[in-house]
Amino acid sequence: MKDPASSAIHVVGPSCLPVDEHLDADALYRAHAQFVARFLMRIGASGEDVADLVQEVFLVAHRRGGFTMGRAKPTTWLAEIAFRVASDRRKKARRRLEDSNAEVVALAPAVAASASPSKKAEARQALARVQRVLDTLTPEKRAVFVLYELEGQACDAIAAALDVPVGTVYSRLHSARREFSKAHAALEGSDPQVRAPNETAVADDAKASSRTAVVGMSS
Amino acid sequence: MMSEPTRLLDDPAVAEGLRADLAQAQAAVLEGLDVSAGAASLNAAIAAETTAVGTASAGAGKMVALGLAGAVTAGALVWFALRAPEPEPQVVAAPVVTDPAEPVSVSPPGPEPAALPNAAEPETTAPGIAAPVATPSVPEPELSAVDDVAPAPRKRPRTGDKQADYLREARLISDARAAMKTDASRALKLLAEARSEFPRGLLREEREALTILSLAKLGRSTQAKASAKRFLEKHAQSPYAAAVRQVLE
Repeated sequence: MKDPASSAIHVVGPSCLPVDEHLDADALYRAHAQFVARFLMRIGASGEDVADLVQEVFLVAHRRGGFTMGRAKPTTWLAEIAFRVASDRRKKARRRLEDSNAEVVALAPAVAASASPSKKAEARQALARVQRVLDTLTPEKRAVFVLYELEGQACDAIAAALDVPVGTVYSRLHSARREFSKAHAALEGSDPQVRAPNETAVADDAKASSRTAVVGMSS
Repeated sequence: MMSEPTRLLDDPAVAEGLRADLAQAQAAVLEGLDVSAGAASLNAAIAAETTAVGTASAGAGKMVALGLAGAVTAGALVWFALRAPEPEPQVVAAPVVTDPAEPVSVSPPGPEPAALPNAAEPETTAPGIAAPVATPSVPEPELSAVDDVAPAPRKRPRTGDKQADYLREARLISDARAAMKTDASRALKLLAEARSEFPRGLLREEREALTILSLAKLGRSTQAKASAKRFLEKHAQSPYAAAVRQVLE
């Protein structure tokens, strides 16, 4: 079912680059829902909330009239919406607690099915470490770090999408990298084998610097 | 223009362990997101939202019409009261111009369409669309993929207003989708209600798919599988086909 208003908009297939200047919500969803879900998880949304948040992101994208090619890429444009939607949800933390059986989205390590159990366990631990360290960054720094370091976006595209000067992006990235490296080193220095998956202990300094930033994000 | 800083992953000066962890994070795959079903759900939410906006606009127009009609009526009453003492009751009703499709009485104006909640929000309850009935429900052939799910006890006839009907159908489906996560039995009841009210509804494909998934969730696998086969025969290219196919696996 399509909005009559958007049916006149030219759309492209989900997996190819846009050949026209406009993407409506449906085309955006099919092409970038996975990106948005991954981004939401990396900025701290819980697996139970992600499917719902993704839907909300693309509804906002629809209300904004879809995406028109410009300075930002569709992914960074969607990331900005996702960032705001996640922030809003954070403020209404635990609003959807009753949906504890909701469809759960998760990030899994990309290891071959034939890999040894220890290799799989190592990969899972690596993912858990990165997520735990990301949890120590403020939402703003975290979004920039994820988009730049993990999603390979360019700084000027991030700046355009977040509507901040590119200098701000550099500054946030610089600070995020310093904090990330520090917290990661502290975590690696401890024995990862003895840490339970949900254990939140990281280096005290890193934890103290950002505890307020992550409260509620993973609710 | 400033050059981009070297990414941590590509920087040999960065600790190897950190780079290895980032490489794992970068390559991580997403699990559990059904893009086809999500896109269909998104489109249904957008359609419902659009309908709600359209209904609100139409409602605003009707309000103006009703206001004008009321003013004319009041004017006529005053004029007749001043002009002649003899009663002429038939004149009182004459100038009321109502939309024949509008089932709500003139006074009070009834629930405002502008107040309808967004159908994408499953928490909200259905507003009073049901009021007076313009068109009785006409029995139509059952298209359901599931034959033995008991229909809802209360059958609410359609209003005859296509937008209101669609909005109600969308809300029932949306509520069923939300309920399916925690209470598949309730989801089935809502879906049966939707089937009963809108056998040829615009969202029947989603309704049937959700029915199958709810049956599977309740452990009624024989029914779920039989219905899934029928569904896939009819809707092999449906956005829900992938989810329904999983019931057969």
